[in-house]
Amino acid sequence: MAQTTVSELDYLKMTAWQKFCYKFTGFFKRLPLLFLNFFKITIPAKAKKFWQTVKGCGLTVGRAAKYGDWKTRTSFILFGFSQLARKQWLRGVLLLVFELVFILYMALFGGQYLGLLGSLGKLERGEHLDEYGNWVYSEGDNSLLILLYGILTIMFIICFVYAWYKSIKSAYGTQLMVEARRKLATAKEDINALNDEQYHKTLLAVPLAGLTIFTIIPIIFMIFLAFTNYDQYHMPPTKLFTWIGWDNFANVFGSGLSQAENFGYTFARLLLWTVIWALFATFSNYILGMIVAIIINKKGIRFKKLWRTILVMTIAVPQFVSLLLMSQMLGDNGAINKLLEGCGLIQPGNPIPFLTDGTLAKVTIIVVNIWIGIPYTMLISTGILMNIPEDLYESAKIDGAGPVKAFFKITLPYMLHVTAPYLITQFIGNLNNFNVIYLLTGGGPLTSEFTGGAGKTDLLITWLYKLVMQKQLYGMAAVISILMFIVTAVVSLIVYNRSSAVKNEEDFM
Amino acid sequence: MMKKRILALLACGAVAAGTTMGLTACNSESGITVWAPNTQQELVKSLVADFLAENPDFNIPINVGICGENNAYAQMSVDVEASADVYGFANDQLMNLRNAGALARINDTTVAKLKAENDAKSVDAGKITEGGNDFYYGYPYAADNGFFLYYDKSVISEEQAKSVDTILEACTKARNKDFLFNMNDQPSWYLGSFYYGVGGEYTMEWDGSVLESAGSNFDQKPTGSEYSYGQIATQALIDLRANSHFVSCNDTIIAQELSADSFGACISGTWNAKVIKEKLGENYAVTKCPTFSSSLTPGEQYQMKPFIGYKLFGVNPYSKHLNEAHQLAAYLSSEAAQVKRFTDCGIGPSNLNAQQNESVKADAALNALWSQLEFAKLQESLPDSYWTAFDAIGSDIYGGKGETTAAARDKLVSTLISGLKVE
Repeated sequence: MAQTTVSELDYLKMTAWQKFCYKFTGFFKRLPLLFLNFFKITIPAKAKKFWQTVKGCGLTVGRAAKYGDWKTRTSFILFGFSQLARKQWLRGVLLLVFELVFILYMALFGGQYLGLLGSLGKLERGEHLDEYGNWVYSEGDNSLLILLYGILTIMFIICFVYAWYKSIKSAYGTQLMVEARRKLATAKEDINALNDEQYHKTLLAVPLAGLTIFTIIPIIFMIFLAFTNYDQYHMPPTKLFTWIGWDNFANVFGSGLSQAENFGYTFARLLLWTVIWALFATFSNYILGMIVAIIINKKGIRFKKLWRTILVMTIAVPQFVSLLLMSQMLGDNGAINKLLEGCGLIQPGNPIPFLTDGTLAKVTIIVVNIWIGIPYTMLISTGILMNIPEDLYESAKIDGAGPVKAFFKITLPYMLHVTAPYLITQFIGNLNNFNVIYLLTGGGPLTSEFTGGAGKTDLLITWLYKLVMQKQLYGMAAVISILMFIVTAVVSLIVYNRSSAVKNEEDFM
Repeated sequence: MMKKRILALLACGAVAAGTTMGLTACNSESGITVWAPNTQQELVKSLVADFLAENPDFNIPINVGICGENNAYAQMSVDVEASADVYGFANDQLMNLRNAGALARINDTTVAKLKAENDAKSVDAGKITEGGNDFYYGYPYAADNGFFLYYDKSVISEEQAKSVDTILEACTKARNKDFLFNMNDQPSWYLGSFYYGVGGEYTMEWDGSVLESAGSNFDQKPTGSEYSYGQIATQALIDLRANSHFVSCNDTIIAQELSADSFGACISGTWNAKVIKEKLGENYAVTKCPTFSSSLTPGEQYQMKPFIGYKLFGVNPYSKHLNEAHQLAAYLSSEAAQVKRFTDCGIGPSNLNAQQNESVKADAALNALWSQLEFAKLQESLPDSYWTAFDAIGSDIYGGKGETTAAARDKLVSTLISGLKVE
């Protein structure tokens, strides 16, 4: 597929570097095609599948309506009626209770929030004098709660529709079973099944509920926030915020704003640095860690355990402690500059700006990160290196391969194959590496080029923190985090799907 | 299939449970919570004890929590309904706190009393004009939120302390002494003093607590000069940065310089008085902010115009005991409380009677601070863009190591001007 423009013979004639360049450019040339395929093939296929599922459900409901007896048909309105009438007590009661809970919830609670979801609240908190001349306050709408409960209510409605469909399907199924004179499952059998062939559902119920409450709902909530003007001037519970459509996205991509509010420029610059940082942080640690592991692993090196222990010691110190110490030491007035000054290597009052010069700060961060990260890669590499069959190296040696060749032909491919998923997680982790940046430079040095309090070493994730915690620009922050999610998701999906660990699962096994 | 339904039920049940839990969580706290800075915990606790002793029928429990006055907005805006009932704040956060709904209006009788007892500017520091009416939101208790010059008498003479130039000369002469001024650690609060010093102005139009517009005249030129206010002041800062006896400081660095014996002079506020006095001993001296010069206008000396701000107690309108919270805030800012606050923590009072107290009048740092009142700038609520713009230019000037070219300087100035502009 890659060799569409160059014949196989030409490809084989290339030098290693040319091959690399060829593959590299080829990958980027194919990227638009990959995206196009995604939108042209994958999405329509998924949509079709989804539509067929929905159609299937519709047909089931249709059949139940057409061929169902009166018990089944009553189940359309009264959940579980068919089951109750056919003495499947547990199922019937549960379904009925669910319907009652839903009706009560909508009437007493959900309905009002659903009604206000379109405007996110109308009544602002009031402030007026009472008869003694004191200022008193009246309750107003809370946009945040309206949005939250509105979303929860919608999710509840979706659950309800699903339960309705299931109830009808089961009601009709029960009817057919009775007509075919087959035995219906009793309540006891239903419960026992949960402990037996349906055991996976019992086990997964709690994690799924946790995932929904702590991950899925917040994500959905955050996505909706991106379309609101929630900021310091629209802060619930006192003030209302409302829907503003795509305006926040326009702020990031638009150009009509003054430089002071130029989110697009800041976003692009920080994204670039984030990617550069992630590449450097990941591969510097990976390669150097591997080299350290190889050195220690080499035959003839003495005190192997001692060297490993010394390196692992850095893991024993909590990362944030070493980072804070580093940031103190590297400051313009810090220990290192004072030491250099004392040795007469730099002029007094002219410190090396390790953390206060944009470019140097970036280098400093990467170097400090190497110091923190190498031991982890070394530990992982050591295990894998010991696993490479020794005979591979022996035969390479007999064939006349030097140590460098053996490294690139045996060690590196083997390592890459085994650790590709690790590398990808590292890369994604580094894209969102809050600790190192925040504790070392706090994103600084600040610069008037950027908006939103961003500094030259801010990653998108630390900028996001500033937008939320210092600038109260919640709507904008939501947009940035959605964009960040897209970037990380795209990068990880593409790289992961193309890694040899996924493509050639059987190799090296 | 049944199990699928149970699963769905469980999930829905959990959602419903989460919902109801969220609803009930709000109504758990009772009593009144007061937030005060870490350094004033003992003081506020004893004041609260006095208050309860004086008001035996006051039967609501009072708790004291920690929150710095400079941090009030950050803390209160997280969840205003669950935050403190009474809290101290620096007056520059007034508008933000009001926007977050964290400030309750004070009734007219109390305002009249506050005006009679306190420095007029300090009461106005808690004022917001809305639709032509003045509303008051704070009980003033401190009038010392500003900065001035600390110096070592043995290094710098009283005459030399009047100008940044002579201070630096003296430091150079003494070899290992430094002049400390914050230029790169969120220096926005300090940096304005240079720009106002050369004659620049920053103006804002407020509609209630919403900023309508803001901007500076830093692009205009003083009469007879070929450079603008922004250029002159920025160049002055660049010149300062170029001096090897200048050190950009924060509180940690001040302490470091003191212990390293390289402290010559420092621009900071009253909160550092104690550490500096302890270390310098007899050589401790304070005075008003010095004058400075700019290489663009040789021979000219400009007076630094520092901010002066106030600290006030605010009452949370979401308080369950609104009237009692007002009562407590009034007590915590009363004359007696302010005198005690000065004696225990060295905080300068806003109460007129307390200001006449003998020991207050004898305090050198407060005198230095208050001697600046004639030219200092009242620190009003400033929009976020103000802090961002000045923080950034400070960091850029500092990063330039005093070697910033004229073109780069002009770009910094124009970015500052556009950063300050709000339309």
